[in-house]
Amino acid sequence: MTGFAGPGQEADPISKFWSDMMTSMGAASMPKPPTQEELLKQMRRAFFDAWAAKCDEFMRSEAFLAMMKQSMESSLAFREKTNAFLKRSLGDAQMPSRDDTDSILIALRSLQEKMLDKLDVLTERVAALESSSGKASSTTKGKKS
Amino acid sequence: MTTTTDASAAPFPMMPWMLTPADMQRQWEVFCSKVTAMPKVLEVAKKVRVGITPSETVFRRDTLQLHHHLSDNAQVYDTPLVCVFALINRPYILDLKPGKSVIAHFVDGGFDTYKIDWGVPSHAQRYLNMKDYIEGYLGDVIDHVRERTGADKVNLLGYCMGGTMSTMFTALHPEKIKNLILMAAPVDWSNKDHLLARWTEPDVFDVDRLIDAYGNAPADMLQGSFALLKPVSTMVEKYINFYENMENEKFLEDYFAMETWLNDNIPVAGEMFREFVKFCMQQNRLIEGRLTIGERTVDLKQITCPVLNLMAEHDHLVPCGQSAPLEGAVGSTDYEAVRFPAGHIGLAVGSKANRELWPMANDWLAERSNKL
Repeated sequence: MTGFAGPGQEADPISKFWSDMMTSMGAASMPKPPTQEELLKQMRRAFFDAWAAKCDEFMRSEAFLAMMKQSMESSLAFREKTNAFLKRSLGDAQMPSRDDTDSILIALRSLQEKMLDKLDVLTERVAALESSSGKASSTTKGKKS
Repeated sequence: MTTTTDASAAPFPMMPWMLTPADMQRQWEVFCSKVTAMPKVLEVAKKVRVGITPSETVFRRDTLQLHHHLSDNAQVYDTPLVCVFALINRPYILDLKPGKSVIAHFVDGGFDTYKIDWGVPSHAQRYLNMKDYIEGYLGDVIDHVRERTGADKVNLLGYCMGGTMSTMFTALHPEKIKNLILMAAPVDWSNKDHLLARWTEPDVFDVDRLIDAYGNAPADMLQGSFALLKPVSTMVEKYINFYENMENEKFLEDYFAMETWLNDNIPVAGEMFREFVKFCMQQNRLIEGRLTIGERTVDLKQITCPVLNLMAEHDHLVPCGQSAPLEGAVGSTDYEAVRFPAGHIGLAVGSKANRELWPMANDWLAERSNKL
């Protein structure tokens, strides 16, 4: 016989299955309402997501790109003026400026490149000579044998 | 007539987000607990350590150092692995802390592992260009490792810009590379929808003028630009998360390790930065086969070794669209691409990546390596 269990009795398997199923179905259809803390976190997430989306949209806009370009140009102009001023001041004080060290660096690099190119040519020539002398010696050995 | 008033009722309708006096009391208690946690926070910040796998420096060239990672485990595979990080930021992100280390996965897996630290370029190195880095430094490192280990070829793992450089090197010297692993490595900049691609377009960003004025690309500018890509996340949410987790020691350790790395920016050698921005980002020469390094053209079809291309689905610096086109560009028949649900940094240090992605990458490399 099936039926609800009385006090002190264990529910039979079918009743237990039925009541468990109905409980879980009910719970699924009515999710637990969020607590105030969860609600606040959800609201904050939505708020930040909207903020981030708007920022992204703005940072792609022509207005922002023009602003970014303008600020970079101002900063570069200031830097260029500072560089020019320092170069002139250091030149007047007969001290080397960064431009002077840069020109030495460029000269050194060009010298380094020339030397490396020469070395590459020499390496190729040595390799060619080695291979031709190797061939020659193997031919001589072949003839001797 | 008498009226009764419910003392518990609010004088105005309560909305769900409004704080009751009890909530305010609780918030005050939380705030007090945060204040009392401050000494602990400072203690954790002081003892933060990054770069955990023991290593020795085996090769130096100018500012470059090659670290050989040491392990108690026996070496299992014959081909060494060389990890190449970007020129921006420091390479210890690949070996941040226990449980968050790409290097440790390979070292523990039995690979003889090396990592390149490019160092901080001085003003005297402003003229170092792509040829110096790819054919010079990277080529010297690969030759040194081959000579040191007696291996004909090495495995190469490149992260971000280091991945792009590794791709270029493999295309130029396919005979020296056995397997190529790429992590969030951009190769195709044709899609201009991405925010960073938009900001670096020639009409917006004058890279020539920047490098002429500054010499090297300034670290602060690079860091500021990357932070500005996700301003709400990097400038607001990060600090709220920190406040909410101030009492969690595990969170603090991760937070300070990441912050140490994020704020450890370095400048990029001027000519290298100029060439990378102009030739790759603005003119998209690499994927189109128009990029020359020295006198040689970088032909990606020359890459015939096995390639594992790891991409991060939520990457805000290198979207998958910049890495995925490699598949059609290389000549490899053994090519595998993985899109992992992580961000640019999460691909290396994320818990899920360290749990799932890196053991898989380790297996991929092991399958294609010979045992000693």
